[in-house]
Amino acid sequence: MSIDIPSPTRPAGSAVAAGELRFVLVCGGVLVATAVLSHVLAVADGSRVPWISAVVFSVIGLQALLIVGLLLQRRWRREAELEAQTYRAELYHAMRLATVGELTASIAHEINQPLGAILSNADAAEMMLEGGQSPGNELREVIADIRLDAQRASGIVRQTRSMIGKRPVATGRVDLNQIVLDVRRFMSSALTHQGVALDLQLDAGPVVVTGDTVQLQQVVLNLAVNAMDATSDIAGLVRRIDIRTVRVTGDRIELTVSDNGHGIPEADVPRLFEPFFTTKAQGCGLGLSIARGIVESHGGRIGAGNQASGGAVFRLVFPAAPESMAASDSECAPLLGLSDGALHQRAMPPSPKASSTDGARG
Amino acid sequence: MEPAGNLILLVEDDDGMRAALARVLSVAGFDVRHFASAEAFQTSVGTVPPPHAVCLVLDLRLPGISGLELMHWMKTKSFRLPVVMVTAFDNAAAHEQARQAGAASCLLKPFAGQALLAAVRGAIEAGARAGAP
Repeated sequence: MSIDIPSPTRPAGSAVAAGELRFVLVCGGVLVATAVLSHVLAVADGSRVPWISAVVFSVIGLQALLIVGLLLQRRWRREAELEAQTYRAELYHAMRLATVGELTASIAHEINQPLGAILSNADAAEMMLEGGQSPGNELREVIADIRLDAQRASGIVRQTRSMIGKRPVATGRVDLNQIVLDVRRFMSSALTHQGVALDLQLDAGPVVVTGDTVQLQQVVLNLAVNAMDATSDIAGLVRRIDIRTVRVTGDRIELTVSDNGHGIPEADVPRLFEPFFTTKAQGCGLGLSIARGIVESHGGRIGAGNQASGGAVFRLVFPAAPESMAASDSECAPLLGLSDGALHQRAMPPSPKASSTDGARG
Repeated sequence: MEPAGNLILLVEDDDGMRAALARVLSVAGFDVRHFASAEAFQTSVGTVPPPHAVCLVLDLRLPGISGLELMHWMKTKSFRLPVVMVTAFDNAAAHEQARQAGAASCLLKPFAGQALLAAVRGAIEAGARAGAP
């Protein structure tokens, strides 16, 4: 597979403005020195102030105006940049909402599971009490399960909130493996619902980049949701997404998201990351363009292509975070606050193999 | 009070939900055999309903073989047992599919334990009327 990774584009506006200003200041300084010198000489001479002094002072005035103008322009430019940053953050956030929005049905499903369990458990508890016996320990088990399920429901809410919440950009050390695990956790219900297998092949060591957790999650989530959509109409095959992280060299980390869908038409590949280019019926065409924006703002690059076997593959390359910052894994704690399996500490009724019935208690 | 058989088969992948449903059913006096997947059900139960089995409570959406697929499989194997489908998806098409596949009823999660018991008893009665073994 060959993936064309376009070079990032970087604005250089502020450097130009600083150059102009320096030039004007130097010229102004030379002119002021000349004028002051000739004026002082003329006054010391006792002769009339020469006409050239008048001209030079006018020029000095103009120069001063120009300097003020340039300073103002610089300030406006900075304000515009800040405004653009704010709009960009709003746009990223809106896109994140849209991506998470595609998973709404699954999130509702996921939250209905613990709610349903709570309802059933409450009913069971009531029936136990109405049964007239003192159910003691059994009731305690029910209460413990209700508590677990309530925590599970609130965990899903917390998780969703952390995905869609507005947060200032926070740059730090981020383990891409953890990002992938967070995204898998977040999508697990949708994946099961749609019958998509997600295979992870994560680099054994932490693959740490410098960046913003939420933005990086957004990129991986976006690519994974796209991959899930891309496999929706394959017939007779197990729908598959593969996410892989690998430290290519000491200072380069690669993350790939591939699927076994129909792939990207060759003609579309070059335009894939252009804003408003979409192949989805309900897409707005901003997801991938924003993904590229985020990746490039992390000093990375993103490219897309097709695998030999047919499906699409997106390849992201990031510079690894410098090791010097005392790489402790605790800094890369899961953002979602939930690790896989943390919630499955429930006392299950006996499994079918261990005992064929749960015992009649009526 | 209950018909001759008293055994409910339950297939539900969500641990919490499975535990809760099994508890409601067993407190109501049923015996319960529960499975976390359709595959586990097929392996353990085989192609003949166990003696005393009166109803299958089946989650529509399961990893691997789905609830609907399991129902079709049962049909091909002439595995006859009244089915109560449960789902967390408020999806009219899914409910319709469940009914077409022969489910006695389809409950939308979250539902009360009493609603499950009513559906299960309804399915058992309907099954008995239809002359199911």
